[in-house]
Amino acid sequence: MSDPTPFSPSAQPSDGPAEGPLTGVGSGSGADSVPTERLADYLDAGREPYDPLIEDDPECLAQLLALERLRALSSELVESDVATAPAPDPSWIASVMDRVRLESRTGRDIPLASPDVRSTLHITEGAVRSLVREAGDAVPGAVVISCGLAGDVGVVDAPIRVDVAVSVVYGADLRRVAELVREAVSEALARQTEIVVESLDVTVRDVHLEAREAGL
Amino acid sequence: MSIDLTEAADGTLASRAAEGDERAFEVLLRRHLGLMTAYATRLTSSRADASDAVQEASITIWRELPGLQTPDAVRGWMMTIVSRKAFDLIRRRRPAADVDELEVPSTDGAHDDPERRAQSSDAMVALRQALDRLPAAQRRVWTMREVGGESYADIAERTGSSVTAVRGQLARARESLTREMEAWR
Repeated sequence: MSDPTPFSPSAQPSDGPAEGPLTGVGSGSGADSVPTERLADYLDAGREPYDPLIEDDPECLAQLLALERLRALSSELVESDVATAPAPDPSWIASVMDRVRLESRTGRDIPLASPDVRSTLHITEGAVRSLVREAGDAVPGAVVISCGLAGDVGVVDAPIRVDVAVSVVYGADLRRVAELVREAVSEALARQTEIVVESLDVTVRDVHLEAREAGL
Repeated sequence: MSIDLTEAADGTLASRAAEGDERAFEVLLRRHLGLMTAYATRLTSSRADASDAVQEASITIWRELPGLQTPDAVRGWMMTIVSRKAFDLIRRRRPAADVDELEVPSTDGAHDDPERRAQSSDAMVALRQALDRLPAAQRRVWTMREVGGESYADIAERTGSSVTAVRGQLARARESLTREMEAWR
């Protein structure tokens, strides 16, 4: 038992504040042959690959099981912390969201043709993305994940490539939903912006389960 | 009519929030607020400080979401921001003291909440007490690893030490805890 094991981390340089020799880490645990660090790493790795030095030593195994139990108890502790935490104060959420809205992401300005040469009109990139999200979300079974606008959006009539990623509800016809999203987004952009759409790609990037009914 | 996002995946909400969807951000925040608050409370040992830290973290999360490379991993990333803000707060509270040496009494509310005490298993009560007895630096490192699920590198950065030192502290914390649990059992 006194032989140094290949798992001893004592060869590692200790470049932090004085922590004492790491070989002393296992002292007192009753499992001196393999330091606790090593046991914890082995546990993190899901006890793979099988390590006979740990698994076949009763003391190591006992400490390993104690660490496993501690971990399970720790998750339980966190769950209990979360379950018994006071519900968030509505005014707390409101004040966070107020600050968030102050820092809204408008993105680039996209010009709109103006009947009056002395003024310019713009729609923000953020507003266009919001429009795309709304149009895509309105298709049953689709949730928009992201919307990219590539091209020189700051220039009137510049061709823009629109990339929409969606999540589609499990069980739906992916191709059909993607096509409906494409139509809905295309129609919304044509109706509410002057963007020259060079291409409009819809990618199904995820599949999700149906949201629970009854608005709970 | 807005779509119901409460069942949307974390990654979907994170991507939408990164592109400016405030509603998606609110759903994401509400979903993880309990864990964020529990985490900050364990790190700061104070409900009031935890509330401040989580508020600061929430704004930072919103601000930094566009730079997040893996939206699916948003939860863990949010937790690292919570601990960053919790440590900022601890340092601000006691600017002269070395954070690692700071001894903050644990007031996780377990002692004054009979309902909570009844819900807790006996072993969990023992764990709570064992945690209270750990040196503050060890307790924080343990909390960042086990509650926050943070990497050794992140923990080392936050505590201003090395990965080796963090691993050592964590091992000592685990040894104390398993020893006490064993004695209790």
